[in-house]
Amino acid sequence: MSADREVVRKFFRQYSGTAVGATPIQPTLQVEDDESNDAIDRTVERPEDEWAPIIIREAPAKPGEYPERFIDGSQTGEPVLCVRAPRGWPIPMVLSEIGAVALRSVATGRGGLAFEREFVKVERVLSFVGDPFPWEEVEGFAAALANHAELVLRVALANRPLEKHNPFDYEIMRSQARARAQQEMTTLERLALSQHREVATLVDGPLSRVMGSPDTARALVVGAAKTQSSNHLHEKGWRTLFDLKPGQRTPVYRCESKGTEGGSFPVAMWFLKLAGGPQLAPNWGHIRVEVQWGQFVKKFASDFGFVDRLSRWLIDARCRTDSYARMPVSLDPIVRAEDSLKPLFTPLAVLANRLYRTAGLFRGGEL
Amino acid sequence: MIADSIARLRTDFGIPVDAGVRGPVPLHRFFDEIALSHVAIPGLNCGRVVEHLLAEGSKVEPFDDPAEPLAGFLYFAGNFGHAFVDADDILPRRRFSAAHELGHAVLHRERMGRYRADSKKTLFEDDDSMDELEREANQFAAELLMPEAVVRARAAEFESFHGCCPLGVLNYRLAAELLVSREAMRYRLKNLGVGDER
Repeated sequence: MSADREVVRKFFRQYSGTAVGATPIQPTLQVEDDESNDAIDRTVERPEDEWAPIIIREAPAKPGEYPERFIDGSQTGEPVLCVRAPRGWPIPMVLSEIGAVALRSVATGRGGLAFEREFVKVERVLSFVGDPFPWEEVEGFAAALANHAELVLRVALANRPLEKHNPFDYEIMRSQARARAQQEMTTLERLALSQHREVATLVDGPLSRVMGSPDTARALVVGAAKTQSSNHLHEKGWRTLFDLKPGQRTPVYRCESKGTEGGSFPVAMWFLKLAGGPQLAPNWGHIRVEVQWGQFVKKFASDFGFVDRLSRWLIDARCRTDSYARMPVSLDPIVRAEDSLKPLFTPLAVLANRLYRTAGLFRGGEL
Repeated sequence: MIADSIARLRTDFGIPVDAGVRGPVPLHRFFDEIALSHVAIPGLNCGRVVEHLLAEGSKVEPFDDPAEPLAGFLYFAGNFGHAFVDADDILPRRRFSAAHELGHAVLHRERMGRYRADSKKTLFEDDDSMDELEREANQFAAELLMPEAVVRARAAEFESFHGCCPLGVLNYRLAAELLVSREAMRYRLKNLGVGDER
């Protein structure tokens, strides 16, 4: 072996070199500033300087400690029209179909489990920044689309961009419209969550997004966040996260978001490595598990055994379908929920054509 | 009294409440029927109202403090009325301000004098010191833009289809449908006692 090759190998050995493939791009971590809305306590389970991967025990979860109901939302949408506001600003109109579904696991007669769909709702939304237009025109436009038999399209007005943005920026107007459609989807998820409060439920994403405000009186609610944009960890925490092997978790920490619609939303969180294997980037393959702080403390007596048992249940429920792009961070019941929702959507091109026809546009051309 | 006034307007103008129809109340039709014009002016204050009226050829004397920021302003010259709202406000607030001024025009025409200037605090904040006319105009706007029959019908749909009526979800969806702010809708739902806290 040549000396050059040995130098290369030594370098990679010394610095834990691993092959990584084309994993999905993750959001950039938010930069901490003085106005950060999250209060973090990383000493809940261990002192900060003693953080290390925790091997999850094999003990099975007890009834009430694991979810039996699974909620997922979906949104497909694109800008299909663009209008110019009275002051010349380009205002894209995003046509979306949004939906939410709740599946419940039920025991079959043969000792297995099956999923039953007990909530589903799909709607069509046209979202855009409406503030630049006269109210009387938006009023008539919204009423006409909502009562159009072929479209049944709800108009959802997006917030106008912050003053620091240039209102001639098409992209900022588009992102506002998309965010509004996303919010409509979240509202449907929230509606699904309002049902069957007596059943332990798992939601796809952070709890504060779907719940809005804490509700500790209900049965367990678990949030499973696949993407991370908040910087909750200290340096040792990050090293611990990147050292996790499948079946391991970080210590529990407490995060209290102050800027939620309910005012404050304290949550017990930990990262859980679901999948490993070749070519996974270090920021891929783990989820952030969330449980309401009030439930963790009162319902589960701050028991880290409960954290282990729930984590074990989640690992057992991980998605194992190789062909699914987000398999390393997905849970099988959520994938099934998504699979049961997507076929209910109308192809966007069909909806867009109906809208064009109503608008007097032909083949997407000009008026 | 206010509910009766609105019911009378609806009958006279042929704009009944129909909970089966989706979307916002056609506020502009009430303005058309009453022959009250409405204008949105950026950075609304008395000074800008005067500038606007002078530019239109009206003869006006200066009003109150010309620089005080306003949410709405109502002015009558003979039988012709003009309602002004702040163009910088978000659309739901502009509609609420317009409905509030319409309320003054319908309820207080004889008592209000030549004009009525409404600060943002008057329109958008719940203030115990608010005078009777302002309170009535706010109630008029709330009852006109958020009809009780529509609110209760949507809540009943939730109960019927989903077995629950979560307040936050109902508030969000009704505010979107009726083109009002979520704050205004939350207040209306609270007053009507509609929606489950959980």
